[in-house]
Amino acid sequence: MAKILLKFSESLVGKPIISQIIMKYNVPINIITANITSKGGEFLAEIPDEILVKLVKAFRKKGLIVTLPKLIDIDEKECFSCGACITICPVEALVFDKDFSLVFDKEKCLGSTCNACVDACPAKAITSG
Amino acid sequence: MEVIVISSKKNFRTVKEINDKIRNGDVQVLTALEMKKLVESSGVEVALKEVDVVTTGTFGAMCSSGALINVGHSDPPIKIQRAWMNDVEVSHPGAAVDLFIGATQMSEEQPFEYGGGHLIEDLIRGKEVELRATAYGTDCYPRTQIKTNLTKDDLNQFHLLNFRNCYQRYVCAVNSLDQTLYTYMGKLLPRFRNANFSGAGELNPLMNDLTYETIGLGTRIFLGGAQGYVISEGTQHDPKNRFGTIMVKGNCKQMSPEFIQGASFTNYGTTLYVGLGIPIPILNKDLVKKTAIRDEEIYTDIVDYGIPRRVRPKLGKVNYKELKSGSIRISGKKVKASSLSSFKKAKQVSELLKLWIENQEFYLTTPIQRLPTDTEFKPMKQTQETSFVSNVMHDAVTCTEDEEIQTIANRIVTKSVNHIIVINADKKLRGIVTSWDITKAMAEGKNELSKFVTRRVITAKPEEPLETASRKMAKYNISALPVINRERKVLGIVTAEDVSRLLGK
Ligand code: SF4
Ligand code: SF4
Repeated sequence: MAKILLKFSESLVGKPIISQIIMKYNVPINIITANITSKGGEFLAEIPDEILVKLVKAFRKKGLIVTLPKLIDIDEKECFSCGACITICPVEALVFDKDFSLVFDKEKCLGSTCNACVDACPAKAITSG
Repeated sequence: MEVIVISSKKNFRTVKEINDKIRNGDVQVLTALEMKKLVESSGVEVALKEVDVVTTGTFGAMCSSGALINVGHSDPPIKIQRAWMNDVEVSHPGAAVDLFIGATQMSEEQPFEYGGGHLIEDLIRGKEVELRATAYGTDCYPRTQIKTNLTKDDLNQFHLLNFRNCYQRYVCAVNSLDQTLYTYMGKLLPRFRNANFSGAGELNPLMNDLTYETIGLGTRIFLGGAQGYVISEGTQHDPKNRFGTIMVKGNCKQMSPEFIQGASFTNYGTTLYVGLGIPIPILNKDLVKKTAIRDEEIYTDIVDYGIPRRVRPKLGKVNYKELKSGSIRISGKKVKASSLSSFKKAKQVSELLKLWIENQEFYLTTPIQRLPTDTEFKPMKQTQETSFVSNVMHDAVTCTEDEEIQTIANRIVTKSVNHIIVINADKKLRGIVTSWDITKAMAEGKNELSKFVTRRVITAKPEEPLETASRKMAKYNISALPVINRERKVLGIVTAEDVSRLLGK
């Protein structure tokens, strides 16, 4: 099980997003804490690892801000922009810019619940989340 | 003054003329990427007139690399028998104090994390490393052990000596198996979920002079941020199949850690990333055309690393343009592709080499002897037979999911087996059950197979070496593997007993 923090804004209050997603994917989501006001709110939820990537994508698509446990860290001095980590990443948090330099998009990373890129880096430039 | 004409008269310019232009500060140098654009926009004739030199580059893992060092004599002297630097064993190929650091040799304390490649990088960075050595002692070299700390300044010679670098192109690796593989081609996700390639494609030095017209013994090159030389064709040089390689040397003391970097591939081992660039003198029209080669003309094979054989199954062809686009197609399916070598660094190599030539810091050479174009790369002659899964596999006892538990239990008894493979009507693998699973299920009164069948089955392919199958069984602590084909049809089973009968394990 992985813990994620879901934040939503005023405009999403009252929309049954979580129940929609539970029904669509037919998975148990365990809400650990919830804090909702008319101005928005946040949930701390537990999600089965196998479905984490799909659900994070789905929540983000619905406009929720998804925060994950500790992110990976890339040492820019060590990284030689080979790109070996790019295809490993399930959420396209690692991409090349047009000059073939590696760009890391923190917003997308699944952090310590994933860490899949860490052992793919030949320069050992990535520290696990 | 007598002028010796080395090149043939069809040549438009000579290396000597180019060097004169470098000296006069009016040489025209383009990187290979710029050259391709010029030829495309203005044509071969214009490019021939305007361009004197084209610079190339590559930056990738080159495992067959190393450094030859001489550590000087101690007092009393020692004839080193075995030696370690930062716990990496270094070999002792010569007399008393000559040592060779192999890039793939791993540290005894931190294997897979630190190795010869990192050691070479640390020395180039100016870091102090620990040398530890032992010896048997002789009348002339009485000492039997020594421990000391050294930096590159304390070494007499510190030469990079890479016996195979700069592969012209490389295959594209994928993995058909159910589990992730960690290879020298990087991390390969199961069931073709990614494709890894290597090489700079149209920027690769040997690709820009396919017949090695200007490259050979004595060619001055960019090596690790310093000037180096080609000293021969590399080992495994395979020019006919466009897998040419070169052997190179350079002075590590002048190199820069920006272009020489130790690296490690998880569960595979350590290596050295090397930046290498060759200047191609544009002597004639042919060389203009050769340096105009594009990524879309450079093809390579997609190879399944799931089969650990010398000749691995090829799944198709792909060009470097597709590879660099980030995704390729394998049997119609889109697969993400990424590189293990760095195209960004390869470009930097070609740009820096261009700058050196423009700044009169680098002059071109004519090779004393060109690289061979007809050598073959032979496989190993094996005098002992190797066994494969297909040699020992036998028919599997199977069942389908709708069968009664009692029927399956009877089958286990009559056939006296421990494993029953669950298949569907197409004979495709659905799971596996052991006699223990069945006994337990019967005791607990379960009567549906689907409740206790193991779905995540570790499998083998018939062409897999028996060694690999045996390693899998040990790794997952299991005693049999269903043998399946590419379509996941069950062909048979191989058990730990089969393996031990043949391998004696
Ligand atoms: S940790 Fe996972 S999600 Fe984050 S960058 Fe690495 S592979 Fe992508
Ligand atoms: S695998 Fe490592 S060195 Fe290569 S691009 Fe990713 S972080 Fe950089």
